[in-house]
Amino acid sequence: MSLVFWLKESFAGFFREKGSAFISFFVNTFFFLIFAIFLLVTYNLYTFTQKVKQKMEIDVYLVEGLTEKENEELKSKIIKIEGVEGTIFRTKEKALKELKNYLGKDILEGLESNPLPSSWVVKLKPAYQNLEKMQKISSQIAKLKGVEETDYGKFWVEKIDRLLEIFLWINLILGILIVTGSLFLMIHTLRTIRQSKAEEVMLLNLLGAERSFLRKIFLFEGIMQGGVCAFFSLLILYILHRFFIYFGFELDFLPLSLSIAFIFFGFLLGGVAGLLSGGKKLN
Amino acid sequence: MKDIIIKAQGVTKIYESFKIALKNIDLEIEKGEFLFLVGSNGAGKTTSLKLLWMEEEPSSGMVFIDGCSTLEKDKKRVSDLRRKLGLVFEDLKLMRKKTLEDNLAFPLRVLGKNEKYIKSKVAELLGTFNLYSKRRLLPEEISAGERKKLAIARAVINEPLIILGDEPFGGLDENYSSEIIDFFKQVNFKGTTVFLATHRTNLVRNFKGRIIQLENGEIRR
Repeated sequence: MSLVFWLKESFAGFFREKGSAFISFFVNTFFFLIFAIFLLVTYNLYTFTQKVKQKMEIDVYLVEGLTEKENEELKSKIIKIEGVEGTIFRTKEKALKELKNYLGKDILEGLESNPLPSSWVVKLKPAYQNLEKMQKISSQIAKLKGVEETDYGKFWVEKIDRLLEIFLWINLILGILIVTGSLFLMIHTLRTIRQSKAEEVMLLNLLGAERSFLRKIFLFEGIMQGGVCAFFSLLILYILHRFFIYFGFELDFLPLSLSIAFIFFGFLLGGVAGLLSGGKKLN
Repeated sequence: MKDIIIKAQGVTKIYESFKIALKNIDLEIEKGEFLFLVGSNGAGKTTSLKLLWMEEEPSSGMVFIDGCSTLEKDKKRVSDLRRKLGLVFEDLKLMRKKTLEDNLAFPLRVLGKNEKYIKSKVAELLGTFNLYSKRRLLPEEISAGERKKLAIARAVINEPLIILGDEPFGGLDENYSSEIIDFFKQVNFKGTTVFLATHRTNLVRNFKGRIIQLENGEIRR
């Protein structure tokens, strides 16, 4: 039987029992909206941590009196270390200027000479921006000739790593709870619609409809409802997002790929709920 | 040798409320036979038909349709068996929110027939029952008699082996009822077994075929 028939049937089935179908639609859209808000928050927290991680670097302070040749040799050795993406040289003068900008000019006004050493700022590849790997790279660099000291902001790296770990677990638990909740809610609401159509299901049985035929009806109804609810919840999320932006909140909306994936997830969840909601009714 | 298409052996049906609907019924119906089941309200006609179309199961005894037991547990075989039947329900069981043509097309879609065949078959039957011009209407928008015709058309559309009708003349006048009996005769002439239940004994007074009379769940003749 054609896909058009099933789509037509599932749409018609939805509108045939307007009361229960619309209650189900609103309840499911609300649940999908909660999930979409969760995704939006997750996405924004993720991009924030990525931005923070991009700033995670190792400062390599050099010994006094290093020749240009020795400095170049040191650079090439650092570059060869696994996980290093690039290096930027920071002269004594630049370091002082940065410090002045940070502390304010007046505090350093009385200095007769520049006490700050020259340094290499070592940028790391994203996969190496964590405590364990930064520690390893830092100690490798510290052993190189011409290096006085290395600093990778251990305190902050530790904090960020811990936060990321907590964030990941909370996300995972919340995600599982929301998805499971959505699934059960959809099963329940689809069953409610189905009960109002029990007579129709009975007639289909008497006309000799096979289980696969009934399953397809339930599957397509679920897919349709899941997809539509996901789409509308995304639309509401977009309106809410614009509202927050209007009031000055810096929030990114879900990227297109994630939005499309979310709607597909709606189809999938709806389909699973549709199949699971059939149960004993099929008999 | 007789070609038996419906067979009931010692069938008794007792509902959960302990009401005895049928008592030890033995019945054989030959392939291609046209017969009536008559009896007053509560005699057991509807129960008999429900046992045949497998909406109910006998409390004891066995029912066979085309050699297959109605107690078959394999869902696929039950579906296959039901597809051999054309059913006219007392309450019609039309799909309220579907047009006349969709109501007729549905059994064929259940059977997986192609849309071209469905379209031509639906048009043919709508024409036979003078309903073609009303094909886009909903059942509630046509008269009670026309709804009855639609239910009968749905029962025959899949060219079943057996037609089972529960009060197919309910609410119809004698002329209308005779028209419908004539239609069933034509269907029967093509080889379909027709088994109709009615409480209106006046309609079968001149009927030449077999008439089974039920009284308090027992066959009287």
